[in-house]
Amino acid sequence: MNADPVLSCRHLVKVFGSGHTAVRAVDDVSLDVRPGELVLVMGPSGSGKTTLLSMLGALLRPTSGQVLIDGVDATALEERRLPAIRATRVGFVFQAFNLLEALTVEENVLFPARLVRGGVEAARPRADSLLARLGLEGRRDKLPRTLSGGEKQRVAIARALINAPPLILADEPTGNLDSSNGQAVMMILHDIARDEGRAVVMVTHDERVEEVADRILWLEDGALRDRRAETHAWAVDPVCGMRVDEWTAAISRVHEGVRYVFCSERCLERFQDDPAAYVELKQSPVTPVDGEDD
Amino acid sequence: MWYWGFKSLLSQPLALLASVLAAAAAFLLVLLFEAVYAGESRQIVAYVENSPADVWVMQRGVSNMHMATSYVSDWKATEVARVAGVARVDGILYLNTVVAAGSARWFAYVVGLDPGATRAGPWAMASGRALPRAGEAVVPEAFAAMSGLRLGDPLRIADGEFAVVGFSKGTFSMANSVIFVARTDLEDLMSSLDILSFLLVEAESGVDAAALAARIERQVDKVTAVPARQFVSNDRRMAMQMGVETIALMTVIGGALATLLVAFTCYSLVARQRRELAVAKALGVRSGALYAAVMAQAGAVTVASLALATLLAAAVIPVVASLVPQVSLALTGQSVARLAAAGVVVAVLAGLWPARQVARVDPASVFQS
Repeated sequence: MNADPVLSCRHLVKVFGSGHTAVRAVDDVSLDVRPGELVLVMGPSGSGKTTLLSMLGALLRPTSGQVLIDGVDATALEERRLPAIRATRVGFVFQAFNLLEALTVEENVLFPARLVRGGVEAARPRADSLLARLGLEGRRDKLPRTLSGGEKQRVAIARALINAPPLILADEPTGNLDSSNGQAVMMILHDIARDEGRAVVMVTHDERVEEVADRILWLEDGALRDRRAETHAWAVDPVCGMRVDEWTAAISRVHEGVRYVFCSERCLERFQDDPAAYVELKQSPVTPVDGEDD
Repeated sequence: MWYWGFKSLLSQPLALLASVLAAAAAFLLVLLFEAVYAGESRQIVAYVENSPADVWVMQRGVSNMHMATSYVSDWKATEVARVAGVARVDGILYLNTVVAAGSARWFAYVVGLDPGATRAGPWAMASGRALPRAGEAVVPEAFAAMSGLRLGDPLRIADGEFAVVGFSKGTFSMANSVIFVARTDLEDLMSSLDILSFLLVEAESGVDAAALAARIERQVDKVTAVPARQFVSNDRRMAMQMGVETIALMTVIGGALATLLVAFTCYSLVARQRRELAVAKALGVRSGALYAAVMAQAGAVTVASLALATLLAAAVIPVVASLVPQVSLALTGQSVARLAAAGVVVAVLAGLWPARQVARVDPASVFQS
């Protein structure tokens, strides 16, 4: 892992809005990802993962900071130069697959090749190879609507790889897949990093993925933090008593210096109506426990 | 990107068909207006166009026949006949008036012919005699069909009554039909003697019409002489001027309607494709290429609509012409070319609205599930 980083960002900040309504979605994030690395970005909902991924993929301008993709400072480039960077140096895989519905599997895979030198004809052998490798040879003339979720995601991966970009950015790639298809997609992305030496950055909530990742980054409130050793930090919703993973919980409130997490907005509203009732009667200290234990 | 644009368009065949049909209906409306205009314009000059004169001579200051009044003393026909290079002169008397047959009434050119003036009479006959004698009239076949006239039936022209002796072809239009009577009868109706309206001059072989016209104007007092080609052109211009504003307005309305329909089609297409456009942008497609794709879609809808409208017009016009013979329709290459040029404007205008949408698509929105 001594090679130059494929992806490097320094002091990346993204602020939405201004004044009192300003939200610091990403707060001073710096990271390097080297060829062959599979890096996971995890964190609670609303922690800024997608915003970070958008900036890493040159889809969103940071408020401040720098993003280097394969040595090119994307933050310093004019807007009109960014499409070429995305076309040649970044491959995207999305949770919702995002295939172009009017095009066949093969045309979808070859779509990014239209944007680079050589075009479709030069990319056709690579498309054949990718389709074969991803088990899509028999589906090349099918339209996306006729494919299963797993097949769609494999098409999306082939599309992301067609221009051989050094960096793959994946947003919840297993989010819409069942267990076995999710596992298969994960192994494909893992192999892409290991066998082809590409850097893969993946935003996910899927705990199964952790096993194949080289690194796991924990993003919380827009900033990278150390992740605790435990797999989960279970807490109890003080209103309904339901067990909630404190790290991924989207709804929380700090009351008298103690952070409480909730299973739903409804529980939060009840809590806010009369915090004392729940704190005195049902306060549950945040107690990290093993994943499967009570 | 054009390929993707076209495939996207074709992937929703029903929506595409509905849009093409709607836009084609608007274009068809424009073509039909143009066809009526062209047909009527052509019919208005049918008489002067089909007369075999090389030079037309008329009262000084008059330069056309349609809606014009011209008086030339008949002795000037003799003077004109003496001009070098003139082979023959036929005089006609001419009146714009209303004719009635039963309950049908129509505006018409009434042309009074001398007994020997066969060349100034109808150029094609459906039935009956071409040259009327005193008390007789030759009327357009279409007029007879509309009013139920048969040979021998009475016809009223101003306050005179005539017997129909012939049905002519190609002499009817909504604006003016041509009815032929004897010159003496028309003189009675007009209460004027020894007067002609126009002299149809035939030049001797090899004589230039323009030079002959100039010579006639020099040698015969107070007349205007115009070469036939120029005379037809003057008449057509006059006829066109009379309807051009209306037709232009109709064309603009039809064109605007087509623009709105094509624009709405492309707008809904872009709205439906918003996510895919964001994906394309995220994958590295430049906005310019996406604009081109949207413009190509607008262009394709416009071309398909224009082609369909032209085919429909070509099929509908003969049917309308046979069902409604009083309407003169002509689908001209000029009309189709003009509509095609308007189609380019329609496609560009229709593409602007959705293109604005394309510009607003945020590529980062691809991460929203």
